[in-house]
Amino acid sequence: MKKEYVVIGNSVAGLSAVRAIRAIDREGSITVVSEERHLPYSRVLLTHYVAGKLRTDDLFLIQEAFYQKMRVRLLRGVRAVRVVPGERGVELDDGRWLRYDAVLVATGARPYFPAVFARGPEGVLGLRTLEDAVRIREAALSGSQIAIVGGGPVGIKLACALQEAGLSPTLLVSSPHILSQVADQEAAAIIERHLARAGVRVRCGVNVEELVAGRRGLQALMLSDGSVLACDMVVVCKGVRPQVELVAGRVRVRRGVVVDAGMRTSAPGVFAAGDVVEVRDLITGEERPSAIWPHAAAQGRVAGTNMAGGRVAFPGALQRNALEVLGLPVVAMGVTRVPADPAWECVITRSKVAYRKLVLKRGRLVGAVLVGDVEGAGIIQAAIRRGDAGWRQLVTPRAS
Amino acid sequence: MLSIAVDETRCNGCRRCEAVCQVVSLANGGLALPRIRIHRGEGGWRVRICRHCEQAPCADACVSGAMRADPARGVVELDASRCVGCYSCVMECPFGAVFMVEIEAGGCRAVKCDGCRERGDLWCARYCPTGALRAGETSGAVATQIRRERAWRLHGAQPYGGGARWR
Amino acid sequence: MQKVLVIDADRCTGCRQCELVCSYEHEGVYAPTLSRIRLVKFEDRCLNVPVVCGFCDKPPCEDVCPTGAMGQRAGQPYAVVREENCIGCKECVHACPLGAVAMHPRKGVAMRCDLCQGDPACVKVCAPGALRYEPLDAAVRQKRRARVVALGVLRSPEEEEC
Repeated sequence: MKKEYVVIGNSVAGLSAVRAIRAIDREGSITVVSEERHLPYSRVLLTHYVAGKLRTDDLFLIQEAFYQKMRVRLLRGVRAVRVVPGERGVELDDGRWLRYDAVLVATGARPYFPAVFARGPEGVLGLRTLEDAVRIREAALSGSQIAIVGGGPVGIKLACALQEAGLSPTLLVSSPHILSQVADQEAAAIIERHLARAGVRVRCGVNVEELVAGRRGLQALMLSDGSVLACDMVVVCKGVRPQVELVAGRVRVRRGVVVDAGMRTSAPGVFAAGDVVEVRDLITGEERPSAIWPHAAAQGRVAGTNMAGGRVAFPGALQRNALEVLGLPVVAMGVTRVPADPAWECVITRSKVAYRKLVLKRGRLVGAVLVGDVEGAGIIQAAIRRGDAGWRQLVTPRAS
Repeated sequence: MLSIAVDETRCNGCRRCEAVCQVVSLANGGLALPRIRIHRGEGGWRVRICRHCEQAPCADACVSGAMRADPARGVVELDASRCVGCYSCVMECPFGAVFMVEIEAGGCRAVKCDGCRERGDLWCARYCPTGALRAGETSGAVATQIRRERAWRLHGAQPYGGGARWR
Repeated sequence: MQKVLVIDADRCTGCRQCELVCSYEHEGVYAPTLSRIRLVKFEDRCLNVPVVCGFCDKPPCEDVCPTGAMGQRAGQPYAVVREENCIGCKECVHACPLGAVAMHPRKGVAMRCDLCQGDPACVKVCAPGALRYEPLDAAVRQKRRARVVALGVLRSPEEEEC
């Protein structure tokens, strides 16, 4: 019998699920429901678009032909309203009803806006969609004053992009240093110095207290240190939150959709993958959403395979980020901040151009921060995943 | 899938593979850079070359769609024109076999083994004098060879025992 | 007592039943290419050798695995391939001195014998008794015996007469 698959979400998790389903099931019908009208594009590359290094055409991950090759029915610009596991169907906003044997919820996440920005005037936005990026690019080209809130990878990449586009953006960070969720203080200091040399203003330890709106939208930000920052646009990069409305109340949801290692939700036939789920962290064992690209791709593949009757598992999440800050490569993986506990130690090598820190817990490699020289980062990641003691060869400097 | 067998214990660091790779890469219209790298690590030489994984983590991590597994050719390929130099693949490759090279001021691109144009006959493997690098056209090619050699040593070539009954 | 999979190539008739049952046990299909045990035939010598994992104490396949996919799963006594971790780099395939690790042609992950978690199906179907699953000491005793007999055969006829 032909199986009917429905994939809600048309980004990396959804696509890799489609590939995985087709690799096993050549007969079944696959329907992809996409809220956006565009072909899937790479959200990570949006900052490159803002910088003017890529055109919109370069952002698309696949061509239209992919859907024909995979024999996928693509519904564009259609939103799924709810998934009803009891009747094995999905209701769409145009009133259609899709029956499924297996459905994948890959609705992703949306930017998180702190309360002060919640009902902000024109000029407050996040950076998640192509439309956001186009608006920021237009503002950048018209020479607007743009402030960025949030010192995470997205905020930093956007600041770099705007700097490359010829602006001098301001990065507002509420933590005492940038990348507070990702890297340690010393690495952050190196990156901050690098940003400052390039002309990006970074202000740490400040919060936005109030938005000052004028007749034509945003005019200024009142900051917690009492100063006022004039700007026409503020981009909030304070992380993302899973979009769980579609299945809320029908499957188990905490911060994200709760799934097992096979990406199955609590309802039979309903799978979830990508930024929408929360997964167990390999190192800390904590269940939390992990909004990173490689996880979405791997989870999509796991979900797709299991939907088509295979049996695979997702090994667990390893938090990691790679970014290029105006020519300075940065990689941070696993646990990067060391608690004051004798069981933890750090092995740090510093040179003129590089800072490399390995974090060990009871002799086991659990994290790393590499700035300037990221050669062999993957080897370190593999060592973290294996959890063996053979990490020492990783610190010995490379003979050129 | 292409299979590349690397035996680091046999490598003597002659770097012939690097030189050959550089020449082949240039001849194929690429950059004059080796896609295989040899360096001295703890306790011997380290050979860094792409293994063309079947579930390539670099392809999973690639945010621009530049890194793709090509099942038809059996290799993991990098479309350099789409690469934005984001270091994601460098972060993922457990063999450290993706290298970043600066091609213009401030712009980096990934470089990795492209499996040569002739499949199953990698130039680096062909020129390796010690057998540290061996290549086969399919994932089982080298293993089948090992299996045969070993089965023969264990059961066929003995002066007594294995096979004696049928001799 | 630890039990081992003993291969007696002299008795193997090359019927490939082990390959078929192995692929059926693990993959649900009869396909020798999906088998964990593989037969090597030397036609010119009339020699058939079943090749299977040697269950090494220090397995090279586990040493070279960059992701830790080769190994034991928690709560299971026999080593398996943790397919969720396997990236299909083929390092184990090349590292195995026996050639007993292979790639799954469809899934793109490594395959290696897991002894059917303690009850090998290949042994049960091996009619000529080329495959045996027995305690280590029994296997050694039998091998010692076979060796002594073989050495005896090699003696010159005069010696044998005395």
